[in-house]
This record gives sequence, structure tokens and C-alpha cells, in this order.
Amino acid sequence: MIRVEDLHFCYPGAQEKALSGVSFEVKPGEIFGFLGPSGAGKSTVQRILNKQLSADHGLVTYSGQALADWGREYFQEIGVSFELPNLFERLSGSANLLALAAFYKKPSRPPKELFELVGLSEALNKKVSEYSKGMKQRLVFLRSIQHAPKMLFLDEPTGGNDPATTERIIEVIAAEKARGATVLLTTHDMRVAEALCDRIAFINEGQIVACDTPRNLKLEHGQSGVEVEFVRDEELRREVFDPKDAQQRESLAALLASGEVETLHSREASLGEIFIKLTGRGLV
Amino acid sequence: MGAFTSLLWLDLRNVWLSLFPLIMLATVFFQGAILRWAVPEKFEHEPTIQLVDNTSDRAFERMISKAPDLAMASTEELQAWAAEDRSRVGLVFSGSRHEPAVEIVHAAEPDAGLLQMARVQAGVFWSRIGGLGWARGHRYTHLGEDRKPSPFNHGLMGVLLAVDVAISAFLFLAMMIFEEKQTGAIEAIKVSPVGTLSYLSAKITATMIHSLPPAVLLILMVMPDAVSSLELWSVLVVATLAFSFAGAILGVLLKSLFDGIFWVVLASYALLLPLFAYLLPTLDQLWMHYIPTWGALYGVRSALFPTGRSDDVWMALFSMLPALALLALIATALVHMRLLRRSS
Repeated sequence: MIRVEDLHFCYPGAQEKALSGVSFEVKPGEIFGFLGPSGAGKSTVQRILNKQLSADHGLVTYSGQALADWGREYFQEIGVSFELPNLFERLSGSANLLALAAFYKKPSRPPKELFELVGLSEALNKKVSEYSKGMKQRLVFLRSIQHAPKMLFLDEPTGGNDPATTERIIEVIAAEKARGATVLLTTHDMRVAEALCDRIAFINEGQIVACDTPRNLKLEHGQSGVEVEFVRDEELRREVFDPKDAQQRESLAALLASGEVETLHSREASLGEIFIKLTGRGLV
Repeated sequence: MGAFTSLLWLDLRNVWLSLFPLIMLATVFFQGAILRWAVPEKFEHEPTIQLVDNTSDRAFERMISKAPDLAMASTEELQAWAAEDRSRVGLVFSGSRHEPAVEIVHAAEPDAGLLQMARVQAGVFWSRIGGLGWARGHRYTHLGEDRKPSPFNHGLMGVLLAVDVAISAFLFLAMMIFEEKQTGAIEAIKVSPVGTLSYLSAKITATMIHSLPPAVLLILMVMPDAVSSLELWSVLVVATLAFSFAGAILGVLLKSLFDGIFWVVLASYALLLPLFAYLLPTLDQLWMHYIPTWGALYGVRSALFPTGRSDDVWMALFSMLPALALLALIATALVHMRLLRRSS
């Protein structure tokens, strides 16, 4: 669907490149995640892919055609959800959706139906200036999906929302994928990335440091184990054992036999931990 | 609903909810009320300039018959009147319509500004009786011998009408763009299939729709008969268009109204330069005629107070066209290349 080859970009006046040799491919119907901390270059990639910025070097193709050769028709195909809410604040939520819906050839879904999806029904006719940050973010997200685009660029779509709402947004994105949409998801929320992404690219300081399925990333870079909580000398203790290591396997067996074990959990490395391992810095 | 209609609806609602149009209507209502009920139609004051017509062909006869207060019977009487007060000036016209001569009678200092004004006034009188219409290069505007004297408050309304339309169109459009840049809504438009022409034409139409009702209100309050003047509306529509494009240029180039306040004030003064010339004809310069405010001011005046010369309004209208074309071109290019710029 989208192919990016050797992308370089430097903001005017900046000393360092925002992107340096970024290459990846997003396959049709896939949710491709960009995971990285603020300033890593995630949004810059999105801005180049939705034609707001021109790359200094590199090639981007969409549906086999160079992005540069796509005219305004390209925007009929895509939907963009921005990291920061950019709405017409004096208008109501539904007016914000209806105003932009008319730009597209495909009929858009009614605002009421969309608002229900993310728990915004009560705010349908409320002025956007009275929305909270999370509500605005949800509205920006709805605006991007209302015309059923083939390609979705979602930049932190769950930003500013509580866990329950985040779950609803995750469900809507999954439904978009089920509809056949291809999604490029930019986030620093590893929970969202793990729940949704078929493949993930870790981006740091403008470079992709790893790109694979979440499972492969964990298998390749993560450290799994068994986490055991046990009571010894009237004190609750916690220890992690690596089942691949023979000596640790024996220690675990001995602990289980001692009858001191209180809880036992399998433990997988999180994407966040893998990111730290690969880059030496956290995701936030 | 197409992109243009949708954008127009969006702009109309957005601007209306900003309350700026209501403020504009309230301001214009206030202006109308003052012009109608507070400003007199005529000021009663002692004349500072008087004339005597000693021309062989009685060139000023018709003018004097309409304004008898302006003239005195003899040169001696005029000299006695001028000698009483240093702020009085007398003009003694002699020669003939084709060989004019004038003597200025006064008791003031030789370098007094009053004398300069008297010289200008003498020229104005001669051009009036000579029937010289205004045209490029002429400094004086001939309003026709047969015209009815225009009430002072109506004359002021003409000026306010042109200035109101200029300011509101200019600011409405600039503010719409500033706001979209500030809230980031322009980014959402950039990643939609909207084209430059739909975007700009919707903004211009929204500006027209919001700028013209205050003009209607002002006319209805002060000179209701003029509301059906096609010539007047032609001038106002062309002026609104020109100033909307100027507002669009400012909106694209500047970050916000306050960040660019210096440039906004500078541009406003530049656009208002012809107003100074309008109020003080000696300041009129040919290059000012290319500023659309000039065409708006003189066009509105010609439409409101017909001079008998049917081409007056159209000349004012045509004087705005080069500026309109240039501003439209620059605004479209800037919106396309800077505001809605997409990578290629």
C-alpha cells in the first residue's frame, strides 16, 4: 500500500536531521505501528506521507505510484488524525464532521453514529470549545474515519483519554482494519500498539532501529520468564526465573517443592522494555 | 453539497459565531444614528472666502444665483470685508471664461496658509465654471453646476460607506485565515481534497455576505433612496472583492492579527491614503488612484451624488480593476503555495 525508501528530512534551521534513511513498507489491510518517544520522528514521517512536508531525499509510493505523482485525488483515499486537536472551536462537534464530510466523493457516516462509537453521543451538538482535550482528540479521530478512507494515518489517536475510552478507540481502529482499511498508527502508548499492530517499527532519533511483528520483536529482543512470589522468613519476596536456563529451572523446581510459593506468573518482555533495550531511552 | 458550498457554510457559521459581524452591524448602526440625528445637513458659519464676479461674460452668474452668500456686489465692499478680519480672503474674478484672472484680497501675512487655500479655491471655482470633469491627472473634482447641493451628513455617509466596506472586508478575511492557522484547522483542510479556488472563493463569498449588510443598514438609515442604486452596489462589490483579496494576502503572510499588528496597521494606512486626498484634494496624487480605496471613495460619491457625467462611476470602478486583478493573483498564488501547500 505504502512503500518508503531511504527517507531523509531536516527541518529548516535545525542542526540535526529529523529523519535519516527511514525505509519501511505498509501492506494493504495491515496496521503498521510507529513506536517511539516524542521527537523521534514519528509525526514527521506521517506529515511526509500525507503530503504536508516534502522529503529532502527518498521515495514514497502509494498503491504503486510515486506520492509526488498523486494529485488531490490522494486525499480522497486517506484519513488523517492529528496528534493535537485542530478543530473549528466555535462549531459543534457534528458541524465539524459535516463541514469536512462534503469534501469527499464517498458518502460519510452520520455524525450521530460515529459519536456513539467513542462515547461522545452527549457532546454531539455541544460547541467544541467546551470539549475536554480527550473529547477533542476523539472528534479528530472520528473526522479521519468518517469517509471510510482506504488509508488511515493515526497520530496518537488515544491521547488524553482514559483507559476505558482508549479500549473503545482500539475497537474502532480494529473495525476499520476489518473493513479493509490500512492503518499507519503512530503512538508512544505500547498498550495500544500491542493491541492493534500487525507490525511495529521502533523509531529513535530519526532512524528505524527495529521493525517486525510484536511477537517476533519480543522473541528476538525480549527476555521472558516466570515470576514467582513466595514467603520466606515471614517476608514476601519476588523473583524471576528464565525457563531456558537449566540452573534457573532447577532453582524454580526447588522453590515450588518448598511450598513457599504464593503466586506464579509467566512474564513477557513489554515493547517498552524492548525499546529501552534497543535504544537506551524510554518511550515517553 | 460540494466543497465550495460546504466551505462557505463553514466560513459563514464560523465568522457569524465570532460575533465580529454583530459588532460591525452595531458600529454601523451607531454611525447611521449619528449621521441621521446628530450631524446637521448644513453648517451655518460665517464664510471665510467671498468673491466678486467682474468677468466680462459674467462667468459666475449661475453659481452665484445658487449660492448668493458666496458673492459680494463690488470690489470695494469685498476689500472692506476682508480688511476687518485676517482670516477672511476675497477673490476678485476678472477676464473671461477663456482668459481667467483672479486677484486675492486679504489682510493676512503673505505666507499664511489661508492664502494657499484661497489659491486652491480659486482654481476650484474656475474648474467648476469651466466644466472640467475629473480624470486622471486632474486635481479637482467637478460635481456639476446643476447638481443639488449634497447635505453634509450624506457626504459623510459616502466616506463611511467606503471605509467600512474596506475595513470589514480586509479584516474579515484576514481573521478567518489567522484563526484557521492558530487552531490548526488549516492542517485538516490541507489533508482533504479541497482545492485553492474552492477555499479562496468560499472565503471571499463569506466576506461579501458579511460585509455588505452593514452597508445596506447604513444606506437605509441615512439615504434610503440610494439602496436601489446599481452603480453604488457595483462599486461596493468590486471594493469588497479587492479588500478581501488584500485581507487574504495578509492572512497568509502573517502569523496572527496581533503578531503582525505593525504590518496590519501599515497596510491599513496604505489603503486609507486616498482618504486623505479625498478630504484634502491638494494631497491627491496620480499613483493614489491605483489604490482601490480611491476608486471606492470616488465611486461611492459619484453613485450617491450624480454629477451629470455618467462615466464618473465607471471611471472609479475601472480604476479599481488593476488593483483587484493584481491582489486576486497574489492572494491565489499565496494561498496555493503557502497556505495549502502540499508536497509534490
